[in-house]
Amino acid sequence: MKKFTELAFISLLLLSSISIAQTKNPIRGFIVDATSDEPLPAANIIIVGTVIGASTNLDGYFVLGNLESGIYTVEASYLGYHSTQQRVTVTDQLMNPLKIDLLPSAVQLEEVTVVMEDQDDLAIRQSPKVSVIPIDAGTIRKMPSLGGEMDVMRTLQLMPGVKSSSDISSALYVRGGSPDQTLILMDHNVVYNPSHLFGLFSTFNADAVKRIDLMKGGFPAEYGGRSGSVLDVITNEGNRKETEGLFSLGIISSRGALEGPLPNKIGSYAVSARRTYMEPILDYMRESQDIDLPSYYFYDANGKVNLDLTDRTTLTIAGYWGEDDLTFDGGPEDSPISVGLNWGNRTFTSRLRHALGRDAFVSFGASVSRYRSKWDIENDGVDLEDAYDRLLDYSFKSDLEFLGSQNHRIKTGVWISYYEFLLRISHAGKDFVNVDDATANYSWYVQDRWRFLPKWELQPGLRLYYHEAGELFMADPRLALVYHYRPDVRFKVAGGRYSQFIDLISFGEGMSSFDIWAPIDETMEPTYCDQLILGYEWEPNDQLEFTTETYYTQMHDVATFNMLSSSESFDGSEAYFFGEGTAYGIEFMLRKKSGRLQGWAGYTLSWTDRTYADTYLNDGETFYPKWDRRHDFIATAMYDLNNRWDMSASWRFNTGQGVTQPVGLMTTYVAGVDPDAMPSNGRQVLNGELNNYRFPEDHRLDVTATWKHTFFKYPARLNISIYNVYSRRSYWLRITDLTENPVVIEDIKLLPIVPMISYEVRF
Amino acid sequence: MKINKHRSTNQILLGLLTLAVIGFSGCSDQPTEVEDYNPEPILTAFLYGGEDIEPVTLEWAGGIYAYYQPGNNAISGADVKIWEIGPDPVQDTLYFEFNDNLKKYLPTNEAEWGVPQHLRSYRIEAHKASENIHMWAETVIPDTFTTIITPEPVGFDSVAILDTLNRNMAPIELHWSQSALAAGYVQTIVCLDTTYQPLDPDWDPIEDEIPEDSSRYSFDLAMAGQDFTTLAWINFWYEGWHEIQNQAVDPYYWEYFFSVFRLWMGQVNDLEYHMNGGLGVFAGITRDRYMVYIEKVE
Repeated sequence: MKKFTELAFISLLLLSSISIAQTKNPIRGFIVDATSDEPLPAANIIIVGTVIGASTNLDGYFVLGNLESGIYTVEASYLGYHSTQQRVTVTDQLMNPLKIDLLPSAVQLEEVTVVMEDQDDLAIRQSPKVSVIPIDAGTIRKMPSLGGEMDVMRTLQLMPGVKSSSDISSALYVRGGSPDQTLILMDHNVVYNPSHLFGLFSTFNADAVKRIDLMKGGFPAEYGGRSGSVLDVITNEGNRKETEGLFSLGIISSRGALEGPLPNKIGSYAVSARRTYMEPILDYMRESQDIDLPSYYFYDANGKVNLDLTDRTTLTIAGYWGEDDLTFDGGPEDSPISVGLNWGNRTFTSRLRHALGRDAFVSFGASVSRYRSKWDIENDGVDLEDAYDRLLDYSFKSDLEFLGSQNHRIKTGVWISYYEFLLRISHAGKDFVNVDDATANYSWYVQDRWRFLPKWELQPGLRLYYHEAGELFMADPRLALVYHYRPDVRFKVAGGRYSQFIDLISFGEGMSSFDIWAPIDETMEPTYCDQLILGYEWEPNDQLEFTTETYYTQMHDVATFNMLSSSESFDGSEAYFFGEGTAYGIEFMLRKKSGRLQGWAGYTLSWTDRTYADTYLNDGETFYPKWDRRHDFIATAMYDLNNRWDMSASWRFNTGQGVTQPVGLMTTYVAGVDPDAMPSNGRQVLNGELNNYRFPEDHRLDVTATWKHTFFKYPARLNISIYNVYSRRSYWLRITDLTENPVVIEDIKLLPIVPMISYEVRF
Repeated sequence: MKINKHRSTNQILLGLLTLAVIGFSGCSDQPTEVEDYNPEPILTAFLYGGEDIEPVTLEWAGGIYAYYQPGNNAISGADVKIWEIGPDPVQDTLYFEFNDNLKKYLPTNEAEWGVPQHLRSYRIEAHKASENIHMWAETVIPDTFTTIITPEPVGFDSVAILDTLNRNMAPIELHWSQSALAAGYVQTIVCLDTTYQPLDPDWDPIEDEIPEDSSRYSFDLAMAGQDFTTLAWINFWYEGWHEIQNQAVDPYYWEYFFSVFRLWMGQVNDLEYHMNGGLGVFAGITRDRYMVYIEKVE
């Protein structure tokens, strides 16, 4: 462990020394939102007429180096913003950083000048990433939503390669991986359970979100800890120019947001919050119809403060607080039953960023992420079940980024996580499971983006792990190669190993209140995946982008909870099964990124399977998990009809989900009980192979219309959305009614057409 | 903007061709419904330490869409036997014969054989060559243990009897000593009255219908090492006599029963049988039994 720490610090020192060796005549600068002065991370900047380009870092900073003295035209672009060009004079003297303002697409330009260059003269984008889908907040706001709640995860589910398990689940199944194989970061802090209302809504309040990058695979070494994909969510930093806010009223929830500059221009802040208010509706239904109904609400709040401590140092403090609460009181008067479920996330993140010289950035972050769930079931004062589950993740991160060379962009860093895992399940006052454990995970990475030839770019990386429990060392090599065949055509290859040291125990789809996250213990092996991705990208013009990627993933030691485990000690080797899996497929996506009509069409052909040898899971034979879908087609469109109306629609068609088909009947014999005393006289189904049957294909159309107007001089939006326009209810479950003889097999379907309305005022 | 139309057209054509090829390839190997299910034999036997042998069932699984009557699927004419296994067996083989009235197998030499002994291991086999049935399983019977029940029994025969209780009283509590070789403890509660008179005071015997196909059975689970539980009143739904059993069970039956519980919860796909050559369960159990009359409070 000591050597590991030394290695990490040596690399940091090494890169610090590199940062001193600056190149000459670079163009440096920041790309920011013109309306709020917020920096724009991952924005592109190119020098028109050359093959030189770069992308901004998290501070919106870029460096274009190795330029001869002269006058250059740079063009900056960012998803959801108007591109802009600027002339820059480079001399043999170091120049001050530029500030390039980009206007959001929502802001209409008075006069749009489109500069059409000869295609062969278009500059090559710097470091196009493999398997990354960027989504800006504007896209999320425009997409049709369920229940009037704009939803980050549901927008992501409309991307090729991303699937949901059902209409009522916001969990992400990316390229055959299960939801726990996706690392979800919010402002660089891990969020463990990203859902509300049993998975119906995600925890990310769209008002708080600035940008999202979904890395479906082949992600660089700076990300680690999950074996499949990464969802990197960056929240609003706050308007640095003026105070603004919004308030939105919906049928089941309301939300509000406020952001603005701090006094004396020392920084900015952004806060947002939302809460559901279904309780009165449920109360009314409970009383008017005399039926036992639960009471439920969720709320969440985001806050972020950016402090410019010096002109080189920025401190960011961000937090998230969310909770779901469900209570149920019912049953007979003399034997009442009460159920309480409560779960939620809290995160706190602090991050200090400092510019080392002109071309290097260092950051230090300390964060806490807590996921907690608890449930208790009582009958007439007797505890039937009482459970408390909590994962506390204390993390320290440090990154050093060197931007000084045009041909290299080196980054290194450490990430130390200390996990406290607590799980108590008691029954009738006695502990059934009692675990109070702690362990630490240390990782270090280094990566480079190296343009070794004008058209070739290599992105090597290495991530090393040391996991305290079990004293495990793991090395994840990563490599990506990009070939710029033409300025508008790129070929990409990426691959590597991706390790995971924490697993999710899930007791059912969408039942997020019962999810349990547990770090691996000394009896377990980490899950790791080997991925290979081949990609092709073609941009026929500034507005269109066509990408296709094929991928193959081999999964090793994939953990799944052993439902028959009844060990109080909860040893990992007894609580889990470890299996193998594969996932492969091909994705196509045509995206229109700008103009009055925007949107995308995507198609995915994919397979994924799992094998848990020598277990009860499909008798140890290979099976397709429930989220395996062969075909998936998606089309979305967002159209600015005029200054008053926006329209958007999404349509999805996919293969039906797998379901296990009962094949026979038997009597369940239980010791000391006559089958006649049991439900349905003990009659029980015999199931066939796991997910051996497929429901019919699903397809659904969602539409939204937004009326933009003013409300007492304030900009306002009336949002009318219709979920499942032609009421094609998707299949969810197959159940067998054993009370009938012969039995009756029924299919349970999900939501019909759901119209919703919400009203939003900005001030 | 200059665009090479031929180059673009070729790219589009190539893309469409690729799409067509993979689209057709994706139509293969779709998982399909299992339509030709071959029924499996199911063998079930429970050995209770120190108690008389109970009948053994051997039957075929039924078809999913067929009318299901367990006796109709009984397999007659099989060679069924149980014997003690281990280094120093003290019991000979116990033979069974098919009873056409019960549609079950009854022991033929029970008087000489005696009763299953605690801490002893047994094996069951069932063979019927003509139908290719060759099944076997093994079990061990956990040691005796003592259960203290609150309220205390007021009468005792082969089954201890508690005083009459109702749901306004404190719930029944069980404390027990540990049973060697027990993998866990199962508490079963069965209402013996089949008239289904709900205890719920809001239930109206005139206006409300008697529930059909209702369960008179509930259960509780305790892991090995646990020595206490409270039987909440939610386990008692009907007025009348109830039998409560506290069972110390062998490891195989514990897994089987846990899988029954998980199957009812929809969390597993199949049961853990530990039966070779087919399905079913062969369980070794040591139990304490109690009777209690639960009365309704108006």
